[in-house]
Amino acid sequence: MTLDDLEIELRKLPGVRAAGFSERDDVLLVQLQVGEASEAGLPLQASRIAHRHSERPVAVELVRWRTLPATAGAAAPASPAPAPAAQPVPGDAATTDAATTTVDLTREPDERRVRLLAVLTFPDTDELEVHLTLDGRRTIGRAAASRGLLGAVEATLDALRAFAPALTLEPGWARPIDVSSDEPFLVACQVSAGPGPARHGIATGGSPIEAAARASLHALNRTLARSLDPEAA
Amino acid sequence: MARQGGLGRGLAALLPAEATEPEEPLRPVAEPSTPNAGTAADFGAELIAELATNESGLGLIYRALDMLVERFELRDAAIVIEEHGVGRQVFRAGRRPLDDENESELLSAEPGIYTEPEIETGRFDASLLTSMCVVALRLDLLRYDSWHDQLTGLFDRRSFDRLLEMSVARSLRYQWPFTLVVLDIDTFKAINDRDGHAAGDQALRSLGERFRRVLRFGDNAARIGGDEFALILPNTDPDDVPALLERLAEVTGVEGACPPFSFGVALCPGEADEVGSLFRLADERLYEAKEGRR
Repeated sequence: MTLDDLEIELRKLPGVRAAGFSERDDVLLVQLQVGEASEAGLPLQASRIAHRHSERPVAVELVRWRTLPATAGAAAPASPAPAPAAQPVPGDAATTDAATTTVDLTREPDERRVRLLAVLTFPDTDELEVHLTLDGRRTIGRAAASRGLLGAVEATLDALRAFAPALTLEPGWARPIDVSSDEPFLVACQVSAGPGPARHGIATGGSPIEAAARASLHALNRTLARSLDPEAA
Repeated sequence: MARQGGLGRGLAALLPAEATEPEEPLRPVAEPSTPNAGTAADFGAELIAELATNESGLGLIYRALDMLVERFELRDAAIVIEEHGVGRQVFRAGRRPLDDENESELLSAEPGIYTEPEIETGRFDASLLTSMCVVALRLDLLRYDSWHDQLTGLFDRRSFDRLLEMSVARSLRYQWPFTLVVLDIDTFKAINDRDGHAAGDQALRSLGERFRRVLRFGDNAARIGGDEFALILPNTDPDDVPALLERLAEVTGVEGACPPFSFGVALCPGEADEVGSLFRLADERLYEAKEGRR
């Protein structure tokens, strides 16, 4: 079984347009770019294929280019290459899936917020990583993957501590909320950020752990805005 | 290494931030270009030599992109190919992340070669390079299809025969034991007769998907006949096989129920150390198991 077989098999998946591979430590990173009409089950399919082809832990990042509905003042959808714009095209968004996880990379350059880059799981080592970014600076938080949703909250807080060292961030709980099967996963969580009442957050995601990471950011958005480390700017 | 050096850079989003180079749009190479002008003939000859010597179609595509980048000192080069079975595919080598802002446009670009900066027309034959990359991709797709069963996605009989030969040789040379499992569906004819061939195909697909989900990396599963499958399980005790196969029925999220099956196992080199005798032993045990179930 060669890397060519893996690449061919991944490129055969409906919607996949490009594939890339890289190595980091002992992890094989696979990146796939898919078109707008790709199937919902694609991240899972791709992860299964990649795991089957690799002896090492695998992380699959899936970038899904979407054309969002045009808003007032937004430019028309991107025209085909050539002549790509140097700036992000309004109305265009990329979504990235890591392992079975979706990550939103929608750019809003004027708004100073911590954004989720990726949620990765490494079953072989029972690790869960949450990658965050703020103003071009990236942090990674880690927790045990076997802790499930709460692990995703813990990893998110772990990553946030680098941006807001003054805050005492503690996880409370995280619970999935039942939704119909064709909707994204919905998770609510409780976290505390020092004295005062606990904060609650709720968010959707392409996987339960991604939704939990987003819910953690949702719970802390306002608190974070006041406490962000100026060094991170 | 283009795959790792070029496309792999798309993973930079997950890695520590690095200084990035100013980004400029990829520009299409004018087509048709003038062959045999400047270095075009040499470049074409080099590519043809690569096609003749490179065993991997994808390897040739990445090599061609690497050659473009090196020869013309490019920052980025991409080729867009439209091919039956995989649709539109983008291959890229260069120094920009895969998921930069321009990538969404490249994904929907017309087939052709895109470079940044633009290569002067006539310095290489773009149509030749595009055609060769199409042929290279087609070769790899054909190679893949020729080794895999279309219905289940598992290896086919030809692949299995080769894998079994290699496994036996490796087992004898290094004393690495493996267990061969031969398995078939108990009620396949009845499924076809009662529910139609579509249901029979579904049962085969279901079993194939279950193998894919249960087997470890390094295990191999093949469909070797109508409803016959074979597994090559390195370093597996035959006594552990029943428990492994029981897990097939427990897999969730697969369309269709797990069909009932019987199986026979044989250990190499412990019970047989030659391809024919090993397979016969497993096959005999399969039929003994089938008789036992009747």
